[in-house]
Amino acid sequence: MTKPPADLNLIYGTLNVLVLKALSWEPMHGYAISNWLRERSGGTLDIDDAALYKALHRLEELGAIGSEWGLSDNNRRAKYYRLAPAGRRQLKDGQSAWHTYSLAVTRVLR
Amino acid sequence: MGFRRAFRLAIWSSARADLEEEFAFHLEMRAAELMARGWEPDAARAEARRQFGDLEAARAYCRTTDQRLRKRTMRTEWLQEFRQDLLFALRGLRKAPGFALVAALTLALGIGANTAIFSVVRGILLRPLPFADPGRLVMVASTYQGQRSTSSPANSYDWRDQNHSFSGISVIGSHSAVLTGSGEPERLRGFDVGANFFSILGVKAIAGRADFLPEEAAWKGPRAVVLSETVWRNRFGSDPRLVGSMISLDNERVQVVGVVPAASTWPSNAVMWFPFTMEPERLARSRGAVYLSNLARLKPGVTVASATLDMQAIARRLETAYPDVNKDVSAVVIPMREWITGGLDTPLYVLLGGVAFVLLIACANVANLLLVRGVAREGELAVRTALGAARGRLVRQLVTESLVLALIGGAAGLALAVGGTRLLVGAAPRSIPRLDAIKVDLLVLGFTVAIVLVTGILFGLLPARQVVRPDLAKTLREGGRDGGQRAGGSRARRALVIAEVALSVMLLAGAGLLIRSFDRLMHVDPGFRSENSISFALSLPDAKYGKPEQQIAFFDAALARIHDLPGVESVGAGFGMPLTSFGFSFSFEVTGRAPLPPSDQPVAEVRVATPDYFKAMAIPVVKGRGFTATDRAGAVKVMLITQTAATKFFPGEDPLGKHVTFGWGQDGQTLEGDIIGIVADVKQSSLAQTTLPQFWAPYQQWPLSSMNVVMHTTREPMAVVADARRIIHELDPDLAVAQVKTLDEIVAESVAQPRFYMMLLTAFAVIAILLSAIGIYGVIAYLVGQRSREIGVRIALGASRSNVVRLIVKEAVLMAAGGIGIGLLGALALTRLMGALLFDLKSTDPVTYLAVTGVLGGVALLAASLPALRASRIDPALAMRGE
Repeated sequence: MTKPPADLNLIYGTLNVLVLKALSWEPMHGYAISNWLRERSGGTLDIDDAALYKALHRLEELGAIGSEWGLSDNNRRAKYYRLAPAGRRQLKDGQSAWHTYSLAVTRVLR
Repeated sequence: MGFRRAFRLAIWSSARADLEEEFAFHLEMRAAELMARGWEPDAARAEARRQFGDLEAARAYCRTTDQRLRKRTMRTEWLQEFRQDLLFALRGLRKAPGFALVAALTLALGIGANTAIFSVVRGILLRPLPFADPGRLVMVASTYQGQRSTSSPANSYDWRDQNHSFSGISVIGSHSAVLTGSGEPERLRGFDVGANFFSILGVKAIAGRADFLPEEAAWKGPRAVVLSETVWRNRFGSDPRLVGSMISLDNERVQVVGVVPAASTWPSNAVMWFPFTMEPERLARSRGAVYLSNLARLKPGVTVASATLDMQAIARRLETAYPDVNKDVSAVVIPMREWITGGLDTPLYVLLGGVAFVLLIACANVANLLLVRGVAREGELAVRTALGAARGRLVRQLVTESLVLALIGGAAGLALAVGGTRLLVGAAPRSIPRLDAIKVDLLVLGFTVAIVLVTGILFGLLPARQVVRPDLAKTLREGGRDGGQRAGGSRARRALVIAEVALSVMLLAGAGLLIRSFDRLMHVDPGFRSENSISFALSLPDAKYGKPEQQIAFFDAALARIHDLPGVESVGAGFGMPLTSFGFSFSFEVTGRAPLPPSDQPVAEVRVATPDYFKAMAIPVVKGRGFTATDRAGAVKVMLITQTAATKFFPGEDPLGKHVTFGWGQDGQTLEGDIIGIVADVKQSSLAQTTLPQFWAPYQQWPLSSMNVVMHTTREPMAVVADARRIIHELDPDLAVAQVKTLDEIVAESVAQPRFYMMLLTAFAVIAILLSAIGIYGVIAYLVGQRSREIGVRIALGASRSNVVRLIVKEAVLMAAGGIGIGLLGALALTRLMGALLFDLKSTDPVTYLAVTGVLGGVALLAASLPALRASRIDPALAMRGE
C-alpha cells in the first residue's frame, strides 16, 4: 500500500476512527454513515464520499469491519457494514491516540 | 430495523456488481434527499455526484481491495471446510479401526513394494550410465561362428586402425596386481586399456590425468597406472602427492599418473588401469589368442547397425588375410547398456510385472474396502442429505476420507520403500551390476502414490454417486441395510475379488515355478564336496617368479607346509575355482587321428591342478590313476579327462593311453600329454549349465603363476586360513592371500541370483495371497451382514448350521473358482516369458499349477470360513426383527 502524503495521513487515519465510531452504534450502510458524520460534526467536517467508501472497503479488507447485504428502511438492497472485534480494538486505540494528539496540539497553540 | 432478517436474505453476487450497486444506492439516496428539499431531479443527481467526489478513483481503489478480500475469504472458507472434512474423516476412520488399518496396510504394501522394486529396476536398467553421452558408448566383440567372444590383440588393433565408425576404440584386458609397500599386501583388480580409454568413456581425472601418454602405451615405455578414488582414499589417505609418485605393483615400480572418480569407473569392479602394451613381434603372432574386450564411442551420426556393418567389412578382410585363425570370425557392435545389463532384463521385468500385480491387487482391495464401507454408510449419508447437507460437501467429505487413507498408506509405504530398497540392495547378489547407484526413486514413488490416490478417489466416489442419485426415500425406508444388495455394487465387489484372486494365481504360479526350479538347481551335484572346505587365490608376480621352476618351488613349499597344519586334511591347488565362470578353452588334436583343419578341431577346457587337488575337492578318479608326485617336469607328460570329455571325444574307445596336444597360450605353444585316467565331472561355470568336457594337466609339468588353493579341514575353515596366510607370508611377505571363500560360499554365490529372484517373487506372491484373503473375507463378511435377515429366516425354518455354512462358503468358492480359472489361463500365457529363468522345468509344470490351485482354494475357504461360522450363529429372533 502506498503511503499517503504526511499532511493527509492525519485525515485518513482520523476518517477511519470516525467510521469505526459511527459503526460502533449499529450496522449502517455507507450513505447512512455519511449522513451520520455530517450531523454529528454539525456540518464542520465536509467529508468526501469517495474517501469515505475507500476507507470502508479498506477497513473491510483489513478485517476491522464486516459487511452483509440487507434491506434499507425504504426496502432497497444496501450494503450494511458492522464493527468486527478487531475494529472495536482499533477504535479504542484510535480514540485515545486522537485525544493525546489533540491535547498536545491544543497545549502548543494555547 | 429489520436488518437481522435482512442479513439472512443476503446473497453473494460478483464483487464488481456489488460495488456498483453500493455506489448507485448512495447516489440515489442523496439525490432523493435533495429532491425532498426541493431540488430539480437533474440538478439533484448532479449535486449528489458532485458531493461524492472522485468516483472513478474510489471505484478503482475499492475494486482492488474487494478482490483481495474476496480471494482471502474463499481461501479461508475452503481451508475451514477442509479442516472439518479432515477431522470428520479421521473421526470416521477411528470409528472403523479395522477398516482403516487394513486399508492403510494394503496401500502401504502396494506402494512400498512397488516403489522399492521399481527403484531397483530403474537403477539397474533405466538410469543413464555415469558417463558422458552414454548412448554412444558401445562394446565391440568378436564372434566365432556367430557366438560372441573376446578378441585377439592383433584383430583389435586392426579394428582400431581401419574403422570409420568410432571416435575412439580401446581394448580392455584383465590385469590384476598385488599392491605392496603401503600396509598389508592387497590384490587389486585392474585392467589393461588403450591410452584414450577414459576419453572414450568421457571420464575426467580428479587428480593428474586419466589418459596415458603415447610413450606409456608403447612397449617398454615408462610404467604408468591410473588409480580409482577408492584406492587413493583407502590406501593412500587421499594424499595429493600420490600423483606423479611411484608405487609397487607386483614388485615393480609404477608411476601413478592420475586418479579417477569412484562413481564412474569401468568395468565397475576395477580400481586401477594400466596402458595396454605388447611386444610388437608377439602382437603380430597373437591373432589366435582371444582375451580382450573392446570399448568404443560411436562418431556422431553413426548408428550401432552401420558400425556393425563397418566392423563386419573389416572382419571379412581379416578373414581373407588370415584364413588359418580368422575363419568364421566376425565382429558385432553392442550398446554398452545392453552389454552391462544383458541377461538381467528378463528377471527384472518379471519382478516388475510381479510388483505391478501386487499394486493392482492392492488397488482392487482398497476399492473393495471402500465400496463395502460406502454401502455401509449409505444410510448415514442419506440421512445427512435429507437433513440438508449439501451434496457437494458430502462428496468432498468422502473424497477427503479416501485421501486421508491414501496419505497414511503412502507415508507408511514410503517408509517401507526406503527400508525395502535398502534391504533389496543389501540382499542382492554382488554380481548384479550398478547396485551402488540405487536410491529410492522419488519419481516412482510419486507415480505409485498417484495411482493409489486415483483408485481411492474413484472408489471413494462410488457411494457418493449413490447419494447424489435422488433415491433417498428408498434408502431411508430400508434403513440403509439392504441398499447394498443393489446389483451394481455387489457385482463390482465380486468382480474385484475375482480379479484379485486371478492376479494372485498368476503371481503364485510365477513364484512357484521359480521355487521348483531353484529346488531342482540345488539338487544338482556340483561334482565336488563343499562342506568344511575353503579356498583362496594366490598370484606370483613375474618379476620374482618369472621362471617355471620358481613357481613350482613356491607352490611345493607352500602346499607342503599348509598340509602339515593341524586341522588340514588335504590341500591342493587348481587353476580357477569351479562355479566361477573362469576357464579357457582350446582346440586339440589326438595323436593317431587324421589331422583336421583348425576350424574343425575339437575344443575343450583345460585346467591345471596339483595331485592333491582332487583329494581336497573330493573329485573321484573313476578309471585309471590320478596325478602323483612323480608326474613332474622331465617325466612323461600326462593328462586326466572328465567323464563327459571321455564320452564326447572318445566314443566307443578307451581314452587311456591316448596322446592329446592342445594349442596353448598366446604364441603357438602347445600343451600335451598321455591320458592316464578319467575323473568325475565338475560343474565349472554354474550349476545350471550343461557339463562341459574338460582336460586336466598336472601343475608340476605345466606351472602357472596364479592358482587357487583348496583346503579340506577338520577345524573351523577360517581359523585354518589364518594359519595358511601366516605360512604364505613367512615364505614371501609381499604376496596377497585373496578371494578367501568357503566352498559352501562359492556354491551359494553361484545360485545367488536365481535365489534372489525366487525370494522376491515369493514375497510378492505371499503379499498377494494375504491381500486376496482380506478381499474375500471382506466381501463374504459383508454379504453375511446383508443377508442376515434371510439367514435368520432360513434358520428359523429349520436350516441346519452346516447348511448355512455351506451356503456362505459356496459364495466364496464360486468367486475363488472364477478367479483361479482366469488366473491359471493368464499364468499359462505369462509364465512363458519366464522360460529363461527356469532350470530344468517347463513353464507349464503341472505340479506348480496344481499347488497354486490348492493354495488359493484353501486360502479362499479359510477367508470365508470365519464369516460363514458367524452366519451359522445368527440368532433368528434378532435377525428377523431386522436389527
